[in-house]
Amino acid sequence: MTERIPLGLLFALVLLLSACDSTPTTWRADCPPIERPPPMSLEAARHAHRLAARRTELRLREAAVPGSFLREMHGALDPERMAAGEVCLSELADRGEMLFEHEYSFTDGLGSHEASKAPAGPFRRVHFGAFGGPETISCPSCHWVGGPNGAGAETDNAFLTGDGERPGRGDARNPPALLGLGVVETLAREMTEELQQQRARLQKNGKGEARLIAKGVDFGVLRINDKGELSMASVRGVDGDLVVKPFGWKGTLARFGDFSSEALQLHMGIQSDVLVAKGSAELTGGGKDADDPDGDGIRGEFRSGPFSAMLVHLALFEMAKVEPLVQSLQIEPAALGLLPPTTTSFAADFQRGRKHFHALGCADCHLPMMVLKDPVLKLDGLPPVDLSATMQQPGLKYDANLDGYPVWLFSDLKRHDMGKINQAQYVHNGVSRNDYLTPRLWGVADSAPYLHDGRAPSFDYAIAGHDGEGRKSRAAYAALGHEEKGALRVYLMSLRRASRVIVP
Amino acid sequence: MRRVAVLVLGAVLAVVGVRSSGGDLASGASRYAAGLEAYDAVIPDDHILLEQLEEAVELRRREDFDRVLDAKDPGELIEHATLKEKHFEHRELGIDTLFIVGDELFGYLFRPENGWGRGGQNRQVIDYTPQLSRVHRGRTGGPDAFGCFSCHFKGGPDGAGTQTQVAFFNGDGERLAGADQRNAPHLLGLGPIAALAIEMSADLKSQATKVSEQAKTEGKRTEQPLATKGVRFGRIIAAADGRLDYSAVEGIDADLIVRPFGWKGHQATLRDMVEESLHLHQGLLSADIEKAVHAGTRDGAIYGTGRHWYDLDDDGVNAEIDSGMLSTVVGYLSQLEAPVTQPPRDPGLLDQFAAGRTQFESLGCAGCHVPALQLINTKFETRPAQAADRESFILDVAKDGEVPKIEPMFATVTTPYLVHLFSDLKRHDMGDGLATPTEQNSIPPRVFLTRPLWDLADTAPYLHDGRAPTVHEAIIHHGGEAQTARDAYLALGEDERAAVRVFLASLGRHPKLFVP
Repeated sequence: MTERIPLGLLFALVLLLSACDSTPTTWRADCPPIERPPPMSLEAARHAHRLAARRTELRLREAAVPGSFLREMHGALDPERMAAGEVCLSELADRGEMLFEHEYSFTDGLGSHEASKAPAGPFRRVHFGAFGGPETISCPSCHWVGGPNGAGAETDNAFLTGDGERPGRGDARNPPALLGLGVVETLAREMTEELQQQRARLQKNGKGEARLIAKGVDFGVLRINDKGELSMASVRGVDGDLVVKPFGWKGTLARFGDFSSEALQLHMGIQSDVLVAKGSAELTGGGKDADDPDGDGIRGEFRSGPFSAMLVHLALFEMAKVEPLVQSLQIEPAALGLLPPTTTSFAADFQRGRKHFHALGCADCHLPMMVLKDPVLKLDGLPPVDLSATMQQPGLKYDANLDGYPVWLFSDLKRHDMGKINQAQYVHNGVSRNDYLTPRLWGVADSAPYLHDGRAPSFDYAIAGHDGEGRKSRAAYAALGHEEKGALRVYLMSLRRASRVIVP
Repeated sequence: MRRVAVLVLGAVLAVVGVRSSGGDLASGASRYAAGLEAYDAVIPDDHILLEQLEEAVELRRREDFDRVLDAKDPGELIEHATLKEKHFEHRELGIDTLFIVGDELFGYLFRPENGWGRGGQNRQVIDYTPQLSRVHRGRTGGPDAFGCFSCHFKGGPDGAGTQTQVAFFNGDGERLAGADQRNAPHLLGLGPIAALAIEMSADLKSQATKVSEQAKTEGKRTEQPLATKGVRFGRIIAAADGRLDYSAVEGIDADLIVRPFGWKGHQATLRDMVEESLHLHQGLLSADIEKAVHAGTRDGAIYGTGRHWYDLDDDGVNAEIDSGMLSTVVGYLSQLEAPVTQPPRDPGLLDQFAAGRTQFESLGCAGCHVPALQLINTKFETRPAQAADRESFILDVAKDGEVPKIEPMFATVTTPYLVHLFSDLKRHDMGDGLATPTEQNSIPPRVFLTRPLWDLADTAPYLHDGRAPTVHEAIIHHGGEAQTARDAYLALGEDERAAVRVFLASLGRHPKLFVP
């Protein structure tokens, strides 16, 4: 009897803990809502000044005690409390932003091995194999064009999988703008579910074929033979696992969290717990110390607490303007009367350009809009995040007619053969050398230069770089008269990020 | 029972949470949790804020319009962003317009049809796209960028380049090794620096002339120290016949012209620096260069061997950069704000700042990184050296354009202005560790201009090739003439070193609203 009670209690606790794992936790109820002043308001200006002042102070503290910022973040961001929803989302987003902006130093784990003692410094502009550079010290270093979390300039191109020496031997990649990451991941996940349901149905039937369609995008035909074996031979634009992977120029990753852990390693040599746990030896360095595989003497460089906080910041990034001209016209006397929508003077061009965008076939791959059904994003180690209530503006808005949230992303989130002129030198994650994911054109006007290697300074050259499956549309564009080309470009120029005021 | 267990679990988690953050509370972990209202004191009053907001928007408004106009009819933007010499000649524009136009040009991505890049490719085929070259081929350059802002944006508009934006000059077009790496510096305060250099050069020249005249008058060899604005440039010697001997001159070329631009201090004027950069990074050739090559007054080897003298790079575009465009960029750059020192608001940090400033002097850093130089004449000519019958276009580097500006030393009319640039604008031997692979414009591998440190806080990474992620490493890599100061820093205790770094991290720029 005396033994039975504690045993029973223990049993109950174990049951409870396992129940905790399977039922989603929620955020604590007393959190203040995330503050989002209108992006062109005086309040936004005040907020920008506060953020800049804090940035300045953080920099001074870091100068006084190198490594103090990241140490304090590790102390303050407890993964268990975060997983239990005890830390408010707004707080995580705020700290995530600081972690995103932070300039990482040797004390934080920048670089690898003896890099901190190297006479010529730790940087390697061209990546060495899968291990990477590092070639920089912060995220905004390559994500700044068009505003915070923007794109990179041509000068920011990464040279992936190279020989550490010749830019021409690496695969050049222009940093894309980081818009709506949470939304995109959620959209892709819904597409994956659709595709996999179709696969399951086919397997259940045990014979025949299924046309794979997700959110209106055609991914080819999946077949099953008499033995119950699936044939991927006619599946198009997605991997054999039927997981839609919307991140990376080649569409290699399904979750931006995986992209982030990889980017921290490749570009800064900062090793997150996630990377250390899951990454290959080529990627992590594979050193003897399991907690410091890059052998720079810093263990646990980026634990899951700070990592998850940064993911929250990334998850809440805003989307671009929605069908900009139309939306602009509906905006009340332009936010504070300061920024009139420039496109109104070009309304006729815009309308014609919009028609061309569809008629030339651009919209076949750069699918203007998809409908998101469920705005809830699931990140590892955190309660589910309702993007529609928390993301930066412009954000998700429910549309009853669509029974969902329209996302104007201008992509089908599918891979296409872009022809020999775009051929990569290496196969990345099994993706053929000619294949690229349709880049999202939302905010395209604010993210020049274009194409995966940033070789196009304007729309004309971006279009000229379309080969393979894009060849027909390119020819159709080339055949347009001067005026009509102009109209299409005006339309593209209207795909903008919302204006905002910042203090750099 | 279940509820109790939940409470227990919650308590356990809470304890874990408190424990894991508790250790660092003393070092200020709680500060980050504090609301942003802690920074309310820095917010300007509403009317100033509104003014800032309107300014930020105004700068963007015209560009936004021009970009759409240019999409409709390509060429419109570059036309709007280019002023011809005649515009300057007839004073058709105000200084403010010059700034807005220059700003637009600065953010423009040049295209092949503007003369970007060089020939050798058929640009008319349907799949033609420009080809970037990250590593330069000799002194011919990349091109490695489309715009100016592609490498000048860190810390804000007209800022520095990041680590990824380091240029690889004078390479073999393929390999990083052997190329001469240059970290793009920020462009703030260029007007005052240009004006300082002009004054210093004139001063040195007149000292040399005086020595020469004195030697002639007295009929004997005469030797004098050369110094201007408190910076010593070695000694000048005149033979009995007045002929000058420059062998004892230090930190400057024998022509006694102070060259404040480029990491090695190889360019004397903003115009030359801009002209050179556009060629190296964008492959844009100025008409002035082509004319000079044609006239035989300039070596044309690095510009190409095109069929026509007016299209040396053979890309089918003539007069890619005309004199007016150069004047526009020069007029823009010389109006940019001056960086400011921002002492920390936090009392503890402020103490460190003060101690660091003292250390900066006593370690000897200030010997080369001279905190301030005095500028007398703030008037600056944006047009090229010209014949007497042409009108000048002069602006005032202490008044025109962006604020903040350099400020007068005292509140009197005739007082000089102080330029807090933290440089002596002189070249120094920095030792073998920092030496470049080759000399540049005859400046030896180990020799560099003292880099101005104003706005250092916003411009990591540091040093000419960006090898130093933080100020600490930047100091460590100092050698040659700076070896003693570097050793003195390393000999300090960690607290004193921290103070030096805090002082340097407070050399920043004025926080300002900006619409990207």
